[in-house]
Amino acid sequence: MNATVNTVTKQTLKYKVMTDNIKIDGDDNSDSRHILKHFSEEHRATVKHLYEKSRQARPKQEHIGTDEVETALSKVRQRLNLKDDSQPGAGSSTGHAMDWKWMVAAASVLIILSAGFLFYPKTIEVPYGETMTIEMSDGSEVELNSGSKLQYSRLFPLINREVGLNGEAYFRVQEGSQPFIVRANNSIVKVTGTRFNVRSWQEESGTETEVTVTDGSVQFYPEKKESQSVAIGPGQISRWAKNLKMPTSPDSVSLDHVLGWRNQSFAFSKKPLEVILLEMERRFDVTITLEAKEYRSEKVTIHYVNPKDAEVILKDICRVKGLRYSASSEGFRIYE
Amino acid sequence: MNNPTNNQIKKWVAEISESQQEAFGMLFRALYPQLVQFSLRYTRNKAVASDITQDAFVTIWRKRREMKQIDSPKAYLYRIVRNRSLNYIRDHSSRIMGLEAMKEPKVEMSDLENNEQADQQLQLLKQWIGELPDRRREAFELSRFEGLDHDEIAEVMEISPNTVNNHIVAALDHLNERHSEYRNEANSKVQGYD
Repeated sequence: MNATVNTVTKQTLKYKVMTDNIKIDGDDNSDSRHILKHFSEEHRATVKHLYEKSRQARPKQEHIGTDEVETALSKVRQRLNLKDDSQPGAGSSTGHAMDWKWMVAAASVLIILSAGFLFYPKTIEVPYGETMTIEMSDGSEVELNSGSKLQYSRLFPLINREVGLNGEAYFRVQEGSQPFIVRANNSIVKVTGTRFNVRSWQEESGTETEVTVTDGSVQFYPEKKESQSVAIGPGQISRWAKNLKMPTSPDSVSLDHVLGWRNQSFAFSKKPLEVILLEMERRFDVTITLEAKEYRSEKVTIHYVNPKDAEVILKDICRVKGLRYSASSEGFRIYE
Repeated sequence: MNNPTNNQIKKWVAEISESQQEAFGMLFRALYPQLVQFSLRYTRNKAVASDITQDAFVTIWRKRREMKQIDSPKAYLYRIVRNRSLNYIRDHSSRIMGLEAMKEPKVEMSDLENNEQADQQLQLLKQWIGELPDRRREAFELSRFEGLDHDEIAEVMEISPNTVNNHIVAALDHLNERHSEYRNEANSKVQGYD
């Protein structure tokens, strides 16, 4: 009898402690706020606790190990006729029984295959939160902003000096007999030896391509329309998007703003809020959800020298625009 | 538990839609285990749950060109797995299987006493969640166990976000009620013996 009493008391105490320990700023997302509104003040704390605690009430899980996942992946790949990367060096040698004709045949297949490989472009992708500088084999240098992707032939610069860009990069191009060409979102920047910045994100609405030149000059034109070419000189910027017949006529620009990303500063003048938020996501590797959707195209001008995190910037933007923000499980959310 | 962010998933799916096989591998490795677990809660059969989940990924690759337009690829995968799991239960039902069987067995007070180590509140919570009507419990579990937001749950269950919200509120209402009953009971027991 006594034992029962003790247990029950203990349970009650445990409960008390638990309900007192509610973290109000836990995993606060818009859903949970919305839900809690349905409950009266006196119940809110308990409901929130039950809501959060429920996560752990998931029934016992079966163990699924890496081996099992890899086997399953191989199966799926086989069904789809995709190449399998899980067994490096697959295939076994068949010994010495092959006669020389076969050897020649095998060798020629190999040569053809590796030639194919050479034409398969090389892709460099910069992780969120980092920048990267690449030295090309012609001596040119490409500085890539966070999240950017650069593609070029493995034969660069033998056949041509062409690179593909999705993102933002600063190019220091070595003079050469062949023109250096940047392809970005159906536009082309053609140069000989010069320094310039290209900003062209496929993900951003309108997918505008912006070219800013620091030294020398470049030709900028929509794909297959070299006749619409615009020449951009030092300190000038030009933009092109699919709805434009030709790039905008070159305009002078503050190079500090455009090239700020190279020195960890963060600057934009009169850019839509959503563009700035995307840039913050890439730079600081966070997720920012704009719940106040009407503010998407609100123009914002900011300039920070080496901001320590996304919140510093977010705080100011919200204050100026009369918005609020809070931390969410993945990053931040912005609301009215 | 390295759960990929929705952003990461979207990025992979964008690459998959351009037929990039590496991204397909990454998406598979990241989501396969949790989808098998999810299907298991319906099918209760590991081989079946694995097959269903693999089929879902085959579908994703075959439809990769349309994937770019999909708002939440994660919700899309969950929806395929859920539908196929429900079909499986429907076709192989012996009434004991499936949703009915997903419910946690009732926890008796004596069990709790026998197992002091176990988190008693958690045991009770499991029981109370098991008492919810099927659809409500599904919505609640997708939110709590799978970490989906209300829009995603709406897509998985093919209902409106508003209905999802109502389900979750009603579920919490039930848990809250059971919780206060339980507390009163425990208190009165203590007082009774005092």
